Amino acid sequence: MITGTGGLLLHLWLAVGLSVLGAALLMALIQPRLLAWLSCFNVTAKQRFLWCIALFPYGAGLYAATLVLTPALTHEFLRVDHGHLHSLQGHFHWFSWQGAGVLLLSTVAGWKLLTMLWRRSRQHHQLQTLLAFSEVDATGCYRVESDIPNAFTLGLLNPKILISRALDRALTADELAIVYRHELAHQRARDPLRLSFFGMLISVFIPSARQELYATLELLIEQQADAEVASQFCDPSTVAATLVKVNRLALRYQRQAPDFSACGFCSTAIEARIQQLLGSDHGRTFPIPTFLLSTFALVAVGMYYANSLHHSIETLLHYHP
Amino acid sequence: MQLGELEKLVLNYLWEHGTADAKQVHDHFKKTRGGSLNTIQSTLDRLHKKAILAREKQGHAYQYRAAIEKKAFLGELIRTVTQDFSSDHNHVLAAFVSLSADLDEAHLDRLEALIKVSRQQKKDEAP
Repeated sequence: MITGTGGLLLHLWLAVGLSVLGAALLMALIQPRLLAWLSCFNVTAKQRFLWCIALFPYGAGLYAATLVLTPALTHEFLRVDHGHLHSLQGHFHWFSWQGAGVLLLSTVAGWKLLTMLWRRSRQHHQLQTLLAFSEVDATGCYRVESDIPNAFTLGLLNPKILISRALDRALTADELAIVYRHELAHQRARDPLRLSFFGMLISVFIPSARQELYATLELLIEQQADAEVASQFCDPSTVAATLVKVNRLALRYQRQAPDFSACGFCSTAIEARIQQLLGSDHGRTFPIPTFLLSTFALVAVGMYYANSLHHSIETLLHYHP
Repeated sequence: MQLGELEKLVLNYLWEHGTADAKQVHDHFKKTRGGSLNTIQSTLDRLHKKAILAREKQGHAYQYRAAIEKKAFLGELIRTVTQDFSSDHNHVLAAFVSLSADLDEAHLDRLEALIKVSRQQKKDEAP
């Protein structure tokens, strides 16, 4: 049995972990409706909503931590009469469901962290090798001597743009400029880092929800880069035509080299990208006042009911001696 | 595939020069990079064990050459990178190509027609 601060921290870890997982499950259940509802918003607003969905479980975890640690805060701020702080008397029993829960949570979290670090290290080496054998042009873009028609931005902290020579040969100067600017938009926005961080956040969701959320953000990021290029060229249809041409080249290459199917890495819907480029109605903006009011209301309700929720958690974790 | 800095340099050298033995490689790098003949020999040996270099014994020395063409090697690397970056939906990659399983020429033709219609509409709307 562990008592004192150690016991409290283990209880805290369990309460936070369960809250994060519970909130992720809840979010996964309502996610299809939420994503359908998002269709009336513009690309930026949709991205903000997606980040809110991804962050929601962690907000719930933070709230659980606040409930376990400092119910006195609500007394201080809202004058709700439940100011007490007896959490430090927590007794943690290893041979209990709480012990099993903590072990399971720690193992899964540790495993996820280790695999992520290992993958990042491997991806870093792969990128370095690819860069070492590529030529850098005056714009800082890496040209890869390859027949695979592709262009991509790779790297977390210092993303690099790579364009294959196959694209150089097949595209006109204007089309190449569109591809380059599209990748430059990804580089400037540090999209690989954003995608990676988002992927890390949604790792607590169930796999189907995770895939849907990731694919949605991926599509939105591509649409944003497309829109940025279209605004520079003043003609979205040229960008759309280039998109179709590059995808046609890739499709033809895929037929010649069947193992290229592994390269269907970025299954963002090309149709959605083209409709976004050609469409005139780009949707509603992010409702900042409504969002702030809702968040404030949620926090206020949460703080008001903090005492009863705190005792519920304590009962659940057998906090009281 | 993980390659060290010297391994990348040696491989590039052999792609440019065709075949060479350890001494020739060392002579090339001692001016620009320094390092001992032993280091070059073990680097060549490592690359041979990774099946990136092929070697043939001529007299007392091995003649090394790249076992895979540069274009094929880079193509394979691109495939590995894109595959690895996508296998767990945790990409660190943003790509221009959007190949999906259901994409075919007919689909692309339809999209091209859509673009033509949009261009025509804009032309008609213009004063």
